[in-house]
Amino acid sequence: MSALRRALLVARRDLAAERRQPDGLVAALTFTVTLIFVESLAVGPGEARRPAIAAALFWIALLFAAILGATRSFERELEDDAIDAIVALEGGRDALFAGKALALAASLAVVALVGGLLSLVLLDLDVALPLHLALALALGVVALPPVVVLDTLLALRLRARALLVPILALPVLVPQLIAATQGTAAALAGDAGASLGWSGLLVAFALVYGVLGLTIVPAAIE
Amino acid sequence: MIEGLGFIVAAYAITLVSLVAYAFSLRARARREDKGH
Amino acid sequence: MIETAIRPTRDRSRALRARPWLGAASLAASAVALGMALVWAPPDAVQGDVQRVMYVHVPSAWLAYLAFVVVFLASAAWLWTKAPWTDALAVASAEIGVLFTGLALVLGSIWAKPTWGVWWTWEPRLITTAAMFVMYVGYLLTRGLSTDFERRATRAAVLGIVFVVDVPIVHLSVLWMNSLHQLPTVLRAGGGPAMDDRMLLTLVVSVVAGTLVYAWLLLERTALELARQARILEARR
Repeated sequence: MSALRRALLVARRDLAAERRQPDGLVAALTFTVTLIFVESLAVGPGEARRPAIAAALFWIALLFAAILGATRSFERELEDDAIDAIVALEGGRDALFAGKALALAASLAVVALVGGLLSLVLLDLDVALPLHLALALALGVVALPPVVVLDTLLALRLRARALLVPILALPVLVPQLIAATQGTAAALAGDAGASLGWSGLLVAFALVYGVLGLTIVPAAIE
Repeated sequence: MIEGLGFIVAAYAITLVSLVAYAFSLRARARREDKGH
Repeated sequence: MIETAIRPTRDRSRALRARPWLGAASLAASAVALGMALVWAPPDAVQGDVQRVMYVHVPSAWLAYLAFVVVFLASAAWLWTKAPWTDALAVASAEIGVLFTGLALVLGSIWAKPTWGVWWTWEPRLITTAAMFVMYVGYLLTRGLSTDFERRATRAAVLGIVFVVDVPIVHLSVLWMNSLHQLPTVLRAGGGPAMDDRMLLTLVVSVVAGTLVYAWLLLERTALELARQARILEARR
């Protein structure tokens, strides 16, 4: 079985578990939506409408949704010691990392869609470049998971992992956060060149950390 | 009066103090370790 | 495999600490650098004497980079060989790297106030350097939370490899996004440095002195860690 098929298998298993018990995803959606709502309130609707601010509020919420999602994903495994079974298989570690990252990206895509639509409606946002916006969102959704999954995996059996994972993940995700926010804001405001430039940067980061994660995970899991 | 003297003094003082403090802390930790934790 | 490393570790520890010449050399070099930075180097045409903060700020930043590259190399070495001394080297360099990064941030702030007018600005190099600081504090925290020796070393090694990606990002971020910060004046791609000769020499001497200080602190801290390792590994038997 090829590496990709193995990874997809892990991802499908994760997503099937989500579908069976959607309360996790629903909680993440509720959390993200509430966060965007509260952020907009705190900043003030006039300010929140500005492309840069709206984009920032959205991506911060998504960042935390990603961390929650990864935690949820691994907690499921811990409950039934499934990780050891997967790791024991050939190429299991890579598949675990890649599969979890893919599944997280899929969940984040759903959260991004709902959160994004809500932001558009609540803040009455003008979208100058919808295709560029979709691209920035898609790339951001893909760029976050590798780092978050790696850090969650690393901190899995540690005390205080709920605090540790954000401390480890957020600094690493700073460039991705900037690129996603700027790319989204540029798409909202109508600057096509800037939006594509930032989206390009997101692709680079997604690749770098995706490949790095795949390379290093076999050594990280015993 | 040298312009910005305060900043220069602060910068060099902080540098020297923190490096010296770290070196001394290493010495103290080493002594504690030799004594048998 | 780890048990057999106990005796060599103890001897190596004692051997490392018998390097007073490195301490003396770094003190001497620092004294020279200090004299050059505060007296010999000319004041800047635009910034005046305040520009002398550069001679402590820039070396701190470069040594932070060096320290984290060493962490990366030691981390890779641990994952490859599982030799305890590689882990000792990694934590030692990480701790010192955190010190130098913090110093670079504070000194940068002190330099910024009189020259840019603000203590802090949200521009890429500062942001990514602050991120680098938090990363390696996180590295030390993760080690602190781990209990098992090998797993702690492996966790730390993974972080040491992932986090080093930020080092080139910090340096290049000034080029990628036009900003307030100095465009790289010494390590520019193509062309030589763009600085007065005396300033350049002072800067070079400061970096050399700083590197000696780093090396000395690194040896001391590694020796401490090796001694701790010896104790832990002996207690296992």
